[in-house]
Formats: sequence, structure tokens, C-alpha cells
Amino acid sequence: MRWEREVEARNRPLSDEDLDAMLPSEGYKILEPPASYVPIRTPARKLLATPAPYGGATPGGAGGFYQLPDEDRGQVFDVPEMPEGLPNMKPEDYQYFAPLLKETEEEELSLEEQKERKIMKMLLKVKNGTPPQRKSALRQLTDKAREFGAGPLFNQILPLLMSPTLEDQERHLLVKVIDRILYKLDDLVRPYVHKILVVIEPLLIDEDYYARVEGREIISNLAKAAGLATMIAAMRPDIDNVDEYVRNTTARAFAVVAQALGVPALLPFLKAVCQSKKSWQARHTGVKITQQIAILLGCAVLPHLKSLVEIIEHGLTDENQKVRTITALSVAALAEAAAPYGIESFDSVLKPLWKGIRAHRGKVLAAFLKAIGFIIPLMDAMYANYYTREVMVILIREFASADEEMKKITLKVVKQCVGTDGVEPEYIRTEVMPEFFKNFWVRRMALDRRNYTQLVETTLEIALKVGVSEIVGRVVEDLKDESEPYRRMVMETITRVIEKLGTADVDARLEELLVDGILYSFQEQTGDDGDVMLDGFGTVVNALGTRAKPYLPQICGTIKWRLNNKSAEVRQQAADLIARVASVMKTCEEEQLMGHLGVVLYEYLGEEYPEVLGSILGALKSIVNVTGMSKMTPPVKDLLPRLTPILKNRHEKVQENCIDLVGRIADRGAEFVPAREWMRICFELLEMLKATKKAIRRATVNTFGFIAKAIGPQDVLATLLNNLKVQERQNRVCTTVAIAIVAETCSPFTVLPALMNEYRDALMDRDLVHRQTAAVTVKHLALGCAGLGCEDAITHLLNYTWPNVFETSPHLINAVSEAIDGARVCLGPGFVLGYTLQGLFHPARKVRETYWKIYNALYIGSQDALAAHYPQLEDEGECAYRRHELDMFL
Amino acid sequence: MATAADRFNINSQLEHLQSRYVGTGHADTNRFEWAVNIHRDSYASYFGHHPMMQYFALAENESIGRVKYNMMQKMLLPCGLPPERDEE
Repeated sequence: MRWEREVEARNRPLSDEDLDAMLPSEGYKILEPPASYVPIRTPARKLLATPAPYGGATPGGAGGFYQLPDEDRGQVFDVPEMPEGLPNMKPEDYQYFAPLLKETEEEELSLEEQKERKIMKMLLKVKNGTPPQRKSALRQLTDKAREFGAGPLFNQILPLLMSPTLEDQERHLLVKVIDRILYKLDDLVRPYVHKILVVIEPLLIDEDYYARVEGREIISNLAKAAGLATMIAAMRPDIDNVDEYVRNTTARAFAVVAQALGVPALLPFLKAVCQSKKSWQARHTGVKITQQIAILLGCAVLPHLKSLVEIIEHGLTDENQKVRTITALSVAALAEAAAPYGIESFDSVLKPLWKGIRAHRGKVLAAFLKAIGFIIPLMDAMYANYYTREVMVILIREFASADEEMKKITLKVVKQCVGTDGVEPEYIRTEVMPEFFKNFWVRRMALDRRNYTQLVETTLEIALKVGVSEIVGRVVEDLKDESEPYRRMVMETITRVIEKLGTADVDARLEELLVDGILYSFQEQTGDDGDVMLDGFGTVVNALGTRAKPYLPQICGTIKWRLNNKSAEVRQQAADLIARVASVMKTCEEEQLMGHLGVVLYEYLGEEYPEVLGSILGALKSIVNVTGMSKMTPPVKDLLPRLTPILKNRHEKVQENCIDLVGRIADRGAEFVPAREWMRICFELLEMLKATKKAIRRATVNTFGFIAKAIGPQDVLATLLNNLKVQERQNRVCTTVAIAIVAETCSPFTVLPALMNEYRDALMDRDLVHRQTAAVTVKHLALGCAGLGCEDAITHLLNYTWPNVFETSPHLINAVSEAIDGARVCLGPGFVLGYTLQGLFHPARKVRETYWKIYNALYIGSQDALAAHYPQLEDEGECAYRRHELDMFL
Repeated sequence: MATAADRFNINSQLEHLQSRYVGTGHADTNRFEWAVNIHRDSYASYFGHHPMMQYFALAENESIGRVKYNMMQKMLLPCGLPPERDEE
């Protein structure tokens, strides 16, 4: 956007002064434009834009082109000269970094001002600079943090953070700076704690998840640097601040401090706040802090559970309604965090909660119900049963409530109660279900995402208690409802219930209704995000198993009809459906039907739409899987050559499915295809190693393995080794893995001789990247061949890898360490210890450092096994180094 | 090129490593310390592998319990007192 504005600014029409300067002063007359002339003030790009097709009108427009709003040509984008070495500034930065634009002599400035200038320069580099500039600036800031002092640093950083035009990346970088200097400054930061908090606290409730995470990180580091006393002193005044926003963020900040410094440290203060007689706001905030602590700590709150409940329990009977509400919500949060433990700590709140739900209405009731909902699952069976009965009366009354929040909470509480052990299915069937279905299974619920999910889960929970047919029987008719979202909800519920419980208690009549319903829903769908209909269909048919046999012809008819549809989505879905039901068709022994579908799909391999083609390939794969290679129609020897050209397709879904299918054929039916064809496919597959999607690369590597098994590894290996000499990293890494897989599928001794030649050269190469790749391969080889009798080969490779231990490049040294670790697994720790001992007490420190690192890795990997391999140390003076036990001999 | 932060991290990691895995060492580990670790590891290994313990007991003609007790006692100072350090 900025770039476009700049281009526009540079291409703006010439002003009168410019023209006067360019053109001669005589020899022509300047004409006045006619009074009615209005120049077209539209931006340049509009003239270059392609006109709307067929003179299409924008909605509401009068058939003309959409007029973009006029640009203000008068604006001066004066890009000032930047001093050397500093990155460019954006207009928004001027107010913060203006002093840098002025070239001033260093001596003219006072010490303070010099410092300020330096800090400013570095901050600009961090914010706007290239990565190397950023890195060095960050390092300088960190190193000199104490020298600069907290004041000058924060006086510049904090205003930047408050800038409204700050981008995400810039904020992240500034957070990084603060983190580093907080670590260095330690308690020097104490006077500035409040200032920092004012700026950082709003991050805690930002919409962006990462902003919240960064806010918490800074406050945590701040707490550790400044200490508990300073934090409390800085935040205490805000606890009963007039502004609710401030109280909210303060509560969250306190929770972060509790997490950083430990809850017990904060407990006395928290207790005092929650019992404050001064203001209800203070009590409210105190309880809210507890709630946030529970949310933040999760199950780590258990050791402190009793104390925390004790602190807030009186809030349930507080005179102020808001305090009562927040207390109930905190109790809910604590119970949720402590689940499934901790019921003893909640003993004292049970009675007030119970009294509360009978006395209150509205929001307060909702909060109390929520608390009870989370406490009941913690109880044991007998109490759970008793309390559930008590609370269910109220719940059922509230089913009919119109309030959204109440609906959500009642649904959740029903789920929690129903799920508890002591609750009887008969009770649920008679008392709960009628009202539940009447009030919640309505079209409105399907429209809100959260209600939808909650309803499906609650219904599933009920189904787990009362059985499939009760639930399915009540909702199956609605598969033919007019509202599509509602149908989806019904379908999803049925899917999840049947997935969990199967179709054993679905009787014949229900079965008919069910299949009829899912067919109708499937055919009437207009768009299927999340594959709800597809999943549903597949689950139900698979669960029915052989009972689905009479319906299969009808289903196949529907599929074939839809494969011909002019809409690509419909075709895709039909193909996906084949993939789902293929295994059922096999179970029902509908061989002919599957064969027929195979041939139909083969015809469609010329499909243009890549998504549809991908699905067709997936469907073919599933049919091939269940039919088997020999009985497949069309026969494999015709199918595979038809697939080879499809490997060239650039679309990811097509590639992945095609490779999978080819791999499957290579795995099971390699003998149907001549070896030449497989080699051709190998060359195609090499291209696939460059794919961006990892799944494709992985599928390719697997297929290489299958092909190697089929035609023997020699040829495949030759191809792959040639590929290694190509420069691109991704290609090489994948080729490495491919070679390892080939080594794994065909026994390694077939692979190693060829490899060793290549790798021995690679390990001695000048270029360290080659050595690094070679080291990685050695590791994979060693781990792959462990225990298979290849010790001599791996020893040989280790001998060439070992000299690289003195390298400093991090990637290389990592690769070498891992290779040595792999060798440890393959050759045994004693063997590698032999190499290591030479350097452990070497006179040169550099040697010792390296060798001790290797020793440490060796030690951590096989501490026990090493005990047998330590060298015999002779006694030295007073020290008895010799391990006498091992001298014993029977 | 490791920045100050990275170097700090590496050192702290190493320290952390040593605190987690007792027997690991570094360039300044001397022979005595290393030998002490070897001895302690060996004893721990014998405790864990019962056949080893049986073998030793048999060879020494002592009860297994006595051998275990003796080894436990030796865990404290397996190589005797540490040698006098030469001031460098």
C-alpha cells in the first residue's frame, strides 16, 4: 500500500513551478481551461485496470465503472535524507525518531543526549532494519543495558509500544528487546514497573493470541526481575480503580505474577484483598484474580486449591450481586482446573451454592449453575446422583429460558451431570429427555456455532447413557427437515453417536428411516464444509456393515448419477463417497458392483478439475485396496500406464493421491507391470521430491521403497545417488531419506556397498554442507541398520565422520553429534568410548571441550552399559582408582 | 556467531545438563572426579544387575546382603579422599 502511494506521489502531475522551470519563458501562450472543464481526478492505476466484463454494473451503480475515491495530490511525501547506515523510516516514525534526521556533531550533545541518540538509533535498527542490522542492534542494546540504565531505555521504548500504528512484527521485536533488557537490568527496573505495566497490560486482553502470550511473557519476566513487593506496590492502587477495564487487566496481570513467582507468595495479599471492607470493587477484583489464576495454571492449581477456595468462599454470600457472580464463576474455574480431583476442597462451598440456585435468577443463577456443573463430576457416585437430582429440577425449568448465556450454561451442566457415574439411565430417559428435546432440538440452535457444538456434545453424552436407538429414533425424521443447517446438525449428531456406540440396537424400521434420511440429506446438500454429510454417510454405512447390502445398489446408482453432474463439487463428493463405502461393499461381497465402479472411475481419469481428479484417484485407491490386484477391473497392467502421465500434474491433491495409488500398486501388484515402466515412474517421482507439501514428499519416499523392493535396489539407488549431486537442499534431504528407506525395505547390505563409495567421498569433501548431509545420512543408516550385522560398514563410515568433530558450524557439528549417536546405537557404547577416551584428558582445552561433549552424549545415552567398558585406572598414591570387584574371577 | 544470549543459553544448558545428569563432565573435570563417577556408576550397575551381585558375593564368600552393604558404604568415598589441589 505504502509503495503504491509512493509511486503515485512520484508520478503526480507537474505543478506550475515545475513547468515554469522546465519550459522556455516565451514563444507560447498559456490558455485558460474552459469554465465547464472538470479534470478526471482518478489515480493512474484505474486507467490501466481491465474494464469490468460485459460492461457489468456494480450493484447499485448506474452501469458505469466503479469510481475509486480521489487521491489527495497535494500531500507532500517528502522522504527526508536518512543518515548513513540507518534503515528507512516510515511517516509514522517521524515523531519518535525525528532527532536522528538532524545531523549533529557528537561533541555538541551532552552525555545524556548522546546516550539517547544511541538508543534511538538502535531501536530504529531493531524495528525497521534488515535482519543483520537487527541482530547487531539487539546485541548492543542487551550488552549495554545496564550502562544505559532503565530510565533512558524505557522512556524511548514504551512510547513506541503505545503507538497505534504498530505492526505485529514490530511489536514482537520490541517485546524481544524488553525481554532481553529486563533480564540484564534486574532490580534496576523497579522504579519503572508501573509505567511498563500501564503499557503492557492492554496486551493481555488483545484479540490476537500472540499479543496476549507476549504480554504475559513480559509481565512474568518483569515480576522475576523486580520482585513480588515491587509488583504488589505498583499494582495495588489499580485494584479498586474506577475504570472497569483497568481492574480487569490488573486482575489478569496479578494472575501472571502469581504464576511467575508462585501462588503461595501471593496468598496473604490475595486474602486481604478479597476481604476488603473498603469497596466491593476490591473484593470483586480479588476474586477475579483467583479466577484468572485457575485459568492460567490449569491443573497446577491443585496444591493451592484449598487455600484459594477458602479465600473466596464468603463471596458467594456477599451483599453485592456482582461479587456473588464472579465468585461462582471463580469456583467453576477452580473446579474445572482441578478436575477430576479436589472435591474435598469444595466441601465448604456446596451448601451456599445449593441455597443460591434456589434463591437467585438470571445471571447470578447462571453462574451458580456453572459452578455446580463443574463440581458434580468431581464427586463420587452416590453424592453425584443425589446432587444431580436436586439441580436437575432447576435446570429443566431453565431449559425454556430465552437468554443465550443461560442456554449455553444449562446445556453444559446437563452434559456434566449426565456424564457422571451415579446417574441412572432410567432417570434421564423419563425426566430429562422429553424437555431436552422439546427445548433444544430446534432450528435456531443450529445457527449459532457454539450452541451447535455444545448441543451435539450434550446429546452424545446422553446417548452414551441411554443408548443409540433412543436418540437416533428421536432425530432421524429431521434428516429431511427443510433447514440445511439443522439437517447438518442432525447428521453430525447421528455420526458421532453411531461412531461411539455402533448400530447394534438399531432395529429394521429405524434402519430404513436412517438410510433413507442420510441419502436425502446427502443429495440435498448445497455445500459441505467439514465433510459433515460425507462423514455421516460413511460412518453409518460402515457401522451397518452387512446390513447395508440391500441399500448398496441404490447408493451406487446415486453415486453414478452424481458423478455425471455438471457441478464439480458434486462430482468430487460422489468420488469421495466411493472411497468411504468401498470397504463395506467388500464386506457385503458386492464384487461386481465394485468392479463396475472401478471401470467407471477409470473412464473419468481424464477429468479436468484437479480437486475432482484427486478425489477420483482416492476412490480408485480405496477400490484397489479392497478388491486386490488380481481381481481388479480395469486390470492393473492397464491402470498403471494410465496413471504415469498424471504424476506430472502440478496440483497437490492430484499428486498426493496419484503417488499413493502408484505406491499401493507397487507394494502389492508390482509383478503386473514391466520393470521398464517402474523405472520410468522413478524418474517422474524424482520431480515430486521438490513438492512443497510434506505429505507428498513422504508418499514419494515410501513409493521409492516399494519400487525398490519390486525391481531390486540397484537401479533405484543409482538414480537417487545421481540426484544427490543436485544443489537444492530440499531435494537432497529427501533423497537422503529415500535412500534410507530403500536401505530399510531391502536389506541394507544390498545398499551399503554402493552408498559407501559415495559417502566416503562426501565425508571428505571440502564443502562443509556436503559433509553435513553425509553425516545426516550416516546417522540414518546407522539407526536403520542397528542390530542387522552391518557393524563393519558403519565403522568404516564412522572413521570418516569422526575427524569432523572439531568443526564449529552449528549445523555441521549437530549432524556429526547425531551421527556419532547413531553409531553408538549400532556399534555399542563401548566401541565409541574407545574413540572418545583419547581426548578426555588431552592437554589442549579445545580438544577436551569437544570430547567431553561427545562423552556426555554417550553417557546420557547408555550410562549403564558404559559401566562395563570403562578403562582400568591404576591406583595413584592415596587414591584407589582401581575397580577391584572386576578383578574377581571364579 | 553466537550472540551473548546464545552463549548464555549454552552455558546454562550445560549447567542444567550437569545438574540433571550427575555423571557428565566438562573440560575441567579432573581424573579424580571422573573416577569417582565411574565407581559410583559401577556400583549402581551391580545393584541393578542381580547376577553381578551374586557373582561378587560368591567370589568373596560373603552374603549378598553384606556385599551390598559394603558397596553402599564405599559409594561415599569410592576413591578415598580427593587429592590436594596444586594452586595454579
